[in-house]
Amino acid sequence: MSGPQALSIMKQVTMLDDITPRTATLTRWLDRTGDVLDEGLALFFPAPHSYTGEDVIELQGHGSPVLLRALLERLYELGCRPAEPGEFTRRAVENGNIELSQAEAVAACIDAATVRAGKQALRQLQGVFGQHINTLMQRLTGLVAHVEACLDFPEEEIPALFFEQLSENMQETVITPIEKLLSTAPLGERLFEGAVVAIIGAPNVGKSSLLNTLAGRDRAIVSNIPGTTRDVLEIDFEVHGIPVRLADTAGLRTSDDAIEQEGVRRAEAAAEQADAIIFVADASRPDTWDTSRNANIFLMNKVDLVDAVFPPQFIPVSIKQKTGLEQLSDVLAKQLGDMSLADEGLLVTRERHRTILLETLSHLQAGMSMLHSEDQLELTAMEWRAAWSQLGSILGIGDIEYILDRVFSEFCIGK
Amino acid sequence: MGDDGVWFHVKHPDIVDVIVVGAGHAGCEAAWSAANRGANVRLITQNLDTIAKMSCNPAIGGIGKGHLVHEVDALAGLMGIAADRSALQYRVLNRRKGPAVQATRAQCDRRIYHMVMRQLLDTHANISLHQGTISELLFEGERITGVKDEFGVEHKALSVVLTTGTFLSGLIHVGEKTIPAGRSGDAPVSGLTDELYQREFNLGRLKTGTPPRLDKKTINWGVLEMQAGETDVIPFSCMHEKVTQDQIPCAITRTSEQGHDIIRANMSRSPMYSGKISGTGPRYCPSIEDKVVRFSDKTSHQIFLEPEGRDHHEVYPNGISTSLPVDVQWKFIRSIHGLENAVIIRPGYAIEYDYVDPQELKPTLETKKIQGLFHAGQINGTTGYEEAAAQGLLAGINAAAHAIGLDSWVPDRSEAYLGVMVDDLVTKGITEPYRMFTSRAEFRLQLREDNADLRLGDMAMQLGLYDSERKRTFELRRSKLDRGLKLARETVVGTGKLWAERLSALNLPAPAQAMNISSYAHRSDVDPINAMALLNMDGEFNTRDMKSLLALVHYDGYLDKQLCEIERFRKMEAECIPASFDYAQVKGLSIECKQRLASIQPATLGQASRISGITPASLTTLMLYLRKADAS
Repeated sequence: MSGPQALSIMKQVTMLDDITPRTATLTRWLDRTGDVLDEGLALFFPAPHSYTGEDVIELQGHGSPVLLRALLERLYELGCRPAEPGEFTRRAVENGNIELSQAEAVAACIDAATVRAGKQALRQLQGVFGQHINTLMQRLTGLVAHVEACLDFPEEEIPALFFEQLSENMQETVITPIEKLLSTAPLGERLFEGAVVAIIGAPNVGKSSLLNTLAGRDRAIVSNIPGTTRDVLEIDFEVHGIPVRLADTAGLRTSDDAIEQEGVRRAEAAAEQADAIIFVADASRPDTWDTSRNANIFLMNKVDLVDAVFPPQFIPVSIKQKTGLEQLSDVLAKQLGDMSLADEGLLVTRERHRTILLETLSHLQAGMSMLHSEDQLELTAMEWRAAWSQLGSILGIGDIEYILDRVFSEFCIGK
Repeated sequence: MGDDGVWFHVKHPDIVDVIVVGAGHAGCEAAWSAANRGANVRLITQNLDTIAKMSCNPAIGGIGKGHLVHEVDALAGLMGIAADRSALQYRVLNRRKGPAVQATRAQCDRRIYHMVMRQLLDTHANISLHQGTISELLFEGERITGVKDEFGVEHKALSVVLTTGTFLSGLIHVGEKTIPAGRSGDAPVSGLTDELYQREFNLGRLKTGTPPRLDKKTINWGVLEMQAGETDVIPFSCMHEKVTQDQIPCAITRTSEQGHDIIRANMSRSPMYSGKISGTGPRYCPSIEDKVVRFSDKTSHQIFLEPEGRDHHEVYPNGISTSLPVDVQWKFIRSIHGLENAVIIRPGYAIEYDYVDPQELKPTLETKKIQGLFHAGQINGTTGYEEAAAQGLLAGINAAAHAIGLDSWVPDRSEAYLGVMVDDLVTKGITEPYRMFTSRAEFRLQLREDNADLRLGDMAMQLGLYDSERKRTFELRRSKLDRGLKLARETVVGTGKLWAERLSALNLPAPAQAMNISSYAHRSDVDPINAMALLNMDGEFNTRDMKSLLALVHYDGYLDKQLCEIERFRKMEAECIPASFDYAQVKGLSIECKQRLASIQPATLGQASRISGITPASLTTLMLYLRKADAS
């Protein structure tokens, strides 16, 4: 509960007359008739030293949905209402407790599916990303100032090589760093949103067995009957800190069975949308060694069965014997992105940031393309100033309305 | 009170609507625009013979400044008319750059400039001139009721515009010497400063400077490079179609290392460097001693020798303003090529004067503390004739509004350089004398010299500033430009024989495919001026119209982009903050933010966003608070 009435509502619902701030206090909560609903802990964070900057009360009860609902209904009776998506963070911003980019990072923390993603969000919360953007803005300001000086002080001669040096500087100190930042976006997004990996291959080569092995449990029905998997089956697991959704698909073959045909169609669609495709072949059946498949990783299963010589792009594994699977993880992680970038802390993880950086880049380049003669210098200035405003909107400088809407629409749950 | 204990007041027999104190560039425009709105105006000045005097360089316009002059003219002000009628030589600065940053500058005959202004003011039915020194302001509570002159005569009015220029506690420095003065040869005004202090206005001190003036006949013109005026220039005022008078050239020379040595050797005698001057000077208009110190790697600085009049023997050496002792000025001047025998007619000097923090003002230029009191020009911390004139005009418009119950008006940043300047002044205050630059305008492509009348004409008519002749001129021009633009978009440059002949006559390449003139003029192998001439085969459009059309074609596409930005900007400007808003009640704003906001009292969220020290987070907080308050 957050807000000026949080404390008084807590007093009404519990048997407490008073509570020590920031100390877990054992208490019971009661319904309207005075019957005890549950026993649990109450915590009080007085304003302004709370997350939202307002009085905040936390009630920790037993994990029963029935008891929880009863408590919530009592709280609504007393004047509470459910928080809107992101409302706690929104209040924290309103009350000046955190800045906008930090709010985004909070959203990212909540969304983070893996430890590595969580760490990355934390870094952003601490402002490494914001500082980097700030530095870029300062450099940009400096370069724009050169152009402006040229426009406002025409009596000063334009130095020789003015245009060449300016565009070289812009390229090196602003454009290239932004391009580098943008190159981390696919990885950043995968870190938070998860990568989709599709397994394809001929029927009965062991695709479902691979999925089960990676999932650590029997998720798919496996049999030696070709065409056992009819639909796309998905499991979530983690490769070197990147959340991965693995999609097992129906074996690719021509079939008269209408259901199996549909399965094959879905398999092809899943593969189309995947960030990476694993093609599985059977070492004992050379007819399954289709190297022309559009895949990122080629896996040769059942190498324990035969001593075959197969094309070099195949990684030898035995799903049954669990050999070669580590190499698969390494290759898959590499395929999904260069993790060293993530550890530097400069990673574009939000779609909003990626869009802004792309927009920034297009303004910068539009400005560059006109930077050869004096008669379009004010247009270069206009483009570069627009780029500056774009960068500023990452930090919340500029058109705040637009930014706010975008930021808060990225929240999907309460805090 | 008189000696015999009886109250006596000497009162001017006529009560007026608006009193303007000071008849410099701000004061003249203030009186004129208030009078144009129908107010009865008294313009009071220490010396009626120095009305609209150019105390420094004899030139009007320049980058950003020329833009302001065009806006003053579009609002039926005086400056463009007087500059055109007294012009000695015109130039277009930034001629090779785009139309938005091109600016007109004219050197003017200072005597004729004064005479034209005097004559225009004299003949306005609603203006009366009065010679006097104002030393006291009259109040009733928090409202101004008039002023008192040095003879004790009370002048009553509903609005008072103060345009004190450099006269407020003015102090001239030449070397070790200081002389109280408002300008060389004129007495300062001292009482008003105390009056403003008593009313708890936040005052500060600024400095500016001017070079020595030289005797024309003692300059060795024969050895100097001459620079002629440009003939294909469009006059400032849209009431003037072309430049008619002969233009006279100026000369160019340079300082030498020898001269720099003279300055370095005497630096300790410069009041700027000995610490005698406390006021801040403009960084972009440095004195020659500043240039020598700050740019020590430059061995020479350019000097323009500008005539001050047609039959006038004073010459203004532009680029060497100085407050060095007179003997050093002599030695330095004579170290310059062509000036070896030059005679100084008046020494250069620096002047310090009081200004009032412009954050004390509403955007209408009325003070927040005293109802009906308006400030314009250097008193607001600006520098330059053009900046002063534009503010004077706005103060006049709003002083008349206050006095006779009309609508007040303030242009926003997307409408005029005047809007940019006023917003900068009242929102951010100043740390050095404020000068207009085009880079201060975020919507620069829109704010051009050539379209000042089109931007502001409708409003000028609504404010009652245009007479019938101005109205006719404006409406004719607007309809012609609409037609011109339509023609540019609809006239197709064909591939037939007739077009081929027409194009080759103008030295233009034949296009492989038919295209409209607007696109054709954009091609890299096409001279846009010649291409646009295709529209004007029968001479329907004059050079002013052609310039506007050319700009529209040059910025085709970009102007639309900027219009979108302007729309977004206006959304923030439309979020009003109530006048008496209590910032203390907004939780989450730092104490510093609350104080800043309470002292500036921004009218809109947009203005609040431009206050320095207001972080994005605090702005968000304020916006959400206002929305919440609005919703409930």
